[in-house]
Amino acid sequence: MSVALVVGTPKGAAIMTSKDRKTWTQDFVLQGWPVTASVRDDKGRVYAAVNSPNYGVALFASDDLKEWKQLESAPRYAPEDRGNPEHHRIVSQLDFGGLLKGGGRFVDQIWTLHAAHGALYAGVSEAGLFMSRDRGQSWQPVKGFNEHPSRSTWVPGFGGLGAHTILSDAKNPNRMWVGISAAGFFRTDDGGKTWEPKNKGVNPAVDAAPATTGQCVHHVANDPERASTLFRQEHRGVHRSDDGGDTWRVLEDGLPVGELSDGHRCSFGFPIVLDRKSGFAFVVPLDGDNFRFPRGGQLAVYRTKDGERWHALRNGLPANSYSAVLRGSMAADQLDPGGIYFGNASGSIFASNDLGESWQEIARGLPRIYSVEAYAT
Amino acid sequence: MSVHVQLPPILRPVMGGARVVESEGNSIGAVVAHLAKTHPAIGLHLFDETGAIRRNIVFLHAGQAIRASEAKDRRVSDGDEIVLTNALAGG
Repeated sequence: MSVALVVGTPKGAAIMTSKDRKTWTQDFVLQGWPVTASVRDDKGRVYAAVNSPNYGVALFASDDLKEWKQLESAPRYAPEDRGNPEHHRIVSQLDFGGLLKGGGRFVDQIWTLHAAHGALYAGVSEAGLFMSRDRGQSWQPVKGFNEHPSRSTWVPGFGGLGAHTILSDAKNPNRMWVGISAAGFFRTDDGGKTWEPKNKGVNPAVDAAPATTGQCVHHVANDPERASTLFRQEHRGVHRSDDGGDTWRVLEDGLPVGELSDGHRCSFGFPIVLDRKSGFAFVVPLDGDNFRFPRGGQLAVYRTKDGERWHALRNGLPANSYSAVLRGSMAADQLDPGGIYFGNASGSIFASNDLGESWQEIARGLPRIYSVEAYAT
Repeated sequence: MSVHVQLPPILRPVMGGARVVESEGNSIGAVVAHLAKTHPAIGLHLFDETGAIRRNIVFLHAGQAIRASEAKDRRVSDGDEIVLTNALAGG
């Protein structure tokens, strides 16, 4: 039961490997590059996304997690694409106030990578979707998404306008979902030609936005084999859909609820993952959008077994943790029993090999953890 | 016209670990354009979507710092060395 974790940080990627999910070894690769996401394709090759305010966005690939080779292509917008001024304002601190003033649209970060139906997908900031059918040797924009009719209403979240979640349906290659902060959640049923907002039942986070968009989705999880059941961590609470996102209902029974900065009361957090064999979902609640750390410093993972009620899991987690867990930094290895992993902004990685019943800190002292992916090897 | 280009440490793995690579051209702009054409992987890091040299890149040539916007007009000679680096940030 060997597992490898690819852990993205601002300084490179930690590669955590274990043959028994108890004893771990650590390597640190892609040193110097901010690593924001990774994915493994259906042939076993792992891709890691890097970005740099000086040297832009690129992808590295590895067949053994030791030797990494940069690909010659990466997602890029066309010179004529126009950008979102508010997104430019947010990310311009990385630009020394220069480049973005021209009004163009640039890929300044790959937020997420996804492999499905023989293709690779990249969700990027400024928000957009790109795909590759040749293992990353070339990338094409998904124009139906990138030029969505509602694009002019999209409002950036705290970290900019980023497409951070991509989900697929193993039984239906024409159906996919993409989540954007803070534009909401979208679904295509025609292979990416058209996309419908799927936010009914979720409160918009942006007052001025139309009701169909403006939701600040943080992360969404599904099992591609039972793809229409979706678990969604929103800025305004956790939700569930059983109809592919057509309708959503609040799913917070048992979660810590607090007051957001605007007075709304709900749970708050970023990552949400699903163990496919058990069907259990996992979140890491934070104490509202002002504090953004575990309530009282007690780090806790919450799990729902029945998809209805959440229970806290704290065994082995610290009681003095005052850092966030970011949206991409939690993963499940999909083994049996399921292993769950997450990293926090203080550079610790926690692992459970028993579906969250107990936790072990398997690394500490890493930089802020951007992303965690788990691959059974 | 052959010119030596010294890479910053972060970009060396892209070129197989090389500290210095060879390129051609009669200006800094032409030299980096040739480098990007012959090695597309490093080209991603040198040019943005508009085709411009990334704004934070700075070249050191003959004791002077040359900004990205000045690169195409900066003439180089056969055998020159260019240090490719980036604008400093931080404290």
